[in-house]
Amino acid sequence: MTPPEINKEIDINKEISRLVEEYGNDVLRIATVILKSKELAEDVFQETFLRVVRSYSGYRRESSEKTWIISIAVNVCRDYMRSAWKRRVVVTDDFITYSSDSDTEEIIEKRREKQALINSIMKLPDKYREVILLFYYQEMGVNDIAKVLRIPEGTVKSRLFKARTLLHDMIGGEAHG
Amino acid sequence: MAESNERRVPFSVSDDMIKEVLKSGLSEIKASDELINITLEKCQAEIENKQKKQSRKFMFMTYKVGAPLAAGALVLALIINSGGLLTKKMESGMSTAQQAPVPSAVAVPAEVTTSNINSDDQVAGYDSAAPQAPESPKLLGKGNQKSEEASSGLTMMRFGEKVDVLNSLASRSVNKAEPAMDKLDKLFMAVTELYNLKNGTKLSLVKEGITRIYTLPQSGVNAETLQKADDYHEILSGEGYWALPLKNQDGIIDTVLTVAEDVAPAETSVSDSDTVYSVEEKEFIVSSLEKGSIIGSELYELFDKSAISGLISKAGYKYDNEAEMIIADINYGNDFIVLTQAGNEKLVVPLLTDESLFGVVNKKVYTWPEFVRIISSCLGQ
Repeated sequence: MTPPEINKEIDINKEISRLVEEYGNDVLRIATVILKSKELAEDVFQETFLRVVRSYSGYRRESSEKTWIISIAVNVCRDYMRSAWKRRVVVTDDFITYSSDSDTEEIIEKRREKQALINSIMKLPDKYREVILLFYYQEMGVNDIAKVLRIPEGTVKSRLFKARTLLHDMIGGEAHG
Repeated sequence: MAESNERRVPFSVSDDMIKEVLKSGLSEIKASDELINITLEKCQAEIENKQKKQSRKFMFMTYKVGAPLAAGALVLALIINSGGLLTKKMESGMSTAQQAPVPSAVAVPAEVTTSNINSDDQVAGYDSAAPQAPESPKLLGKGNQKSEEASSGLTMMRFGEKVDVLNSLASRSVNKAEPAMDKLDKLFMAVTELYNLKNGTKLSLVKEGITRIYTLPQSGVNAETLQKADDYHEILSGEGYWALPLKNQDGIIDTVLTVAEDVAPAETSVSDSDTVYSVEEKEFIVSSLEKGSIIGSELYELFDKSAISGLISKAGYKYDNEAEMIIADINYGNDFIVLTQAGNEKLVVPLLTDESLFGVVNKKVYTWPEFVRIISSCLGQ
């Protein structure tokens, strides 16, 4: 019979593989948007799951698995942003969309609008970009965002409001929240 | 072909549009198989490393508590075997057992047996060692961790996120280049004003709480560096930043700003979360700490030296108010330590927003060697 401790080891390995598969892309996307660098995002990806391993046994399931992992990823991103090394890294804002010859004027126009919007999102200050990403992309509630960012719910709401206002100012149109 | 985005035609930004743009824009970003494999390999190595470490720790613990436990068990066996004497001399028998040379973890058997033996913490701490001595983990339930640390000096790491290297915020300036305090007072009032203007807040500076935070070298401090340092001065960088507590209209500290004079603008590209404020021809890099409100409410000692000296006196040390008191940032502006001296004893008081990271008890007074031993055991070993 397999000793229980060996079973547990296999389970942890399986669990980590599952978590990487299930949340890996989300972690990479979040890190790319927060750090504006695909290379740094890959480093964050690795560091996030290493931290998941280290804190796995302490995870109390008080928050959802997704909230827990995103929270770790955001913290790793913040550590990277605070480090002196990151300050010397050249970051990119490029999230380029491509057009084809068959696109109609309307499609091209829509694409331009989207591109302008995503560029504006990328130009938002870190704290506003974070909330926009978690709220709209991750579709997390204000409560979960507050847990991830370790800030009061009221602050999440005010940052969302401010982020929308800034987007509106950058684009020059209207913001509908 | 990439399209130009120079054109700025106004259009409406709706929630749906933001959502759609992010979903479609980010869908192309996917973790490659190579990245996943490298990550899984590293995770596997981490799991193995963790289990080896726990095994070593457990063997040491077994040795440390094993002998006194055996002695305690022997005393108990003698008492039980004394037959009729047991009922007649119950009280004196119990006191004999309590006087036996057993460690604190053993001396409280009721707590030991009711502790969370099957909790995740327990499993994580001792899994790999269980076959070697299956009974022993019962002695080390979660509830006993603090008393064990206090009594034996051994630290049971509580599993939260782990820190490999102690590090500080990057924005800092050389300590000796700082202007005099009376001058700073005025500058920081101006910084507060600018912060309020920029953020639409009405916060006011708690002048008496302005604190110089010392930083660690930019490369960080690992366990080896800590252990080699004879004195806490050896782990400091000679640089630091100012922490400004800002209170709201209710008198509660709402935000903590970090301020460093921007002495080398050519080399420092400030991140989006920092703002450069120009006051009296000086440039200051200013940012607000993410856990500012928590630090303000739960770690108010950071801004109140008398509260820190109170902690030290309460711990039984005779504290000289003239003694040097250094506050150092050990975790990117989230966790701090107070470094000071009472008589010839160098002391450390952790002021932490996340106690689980370092194995030390928040606001407890440690001697420098004691602190180094505990922290080193938690730093990426």
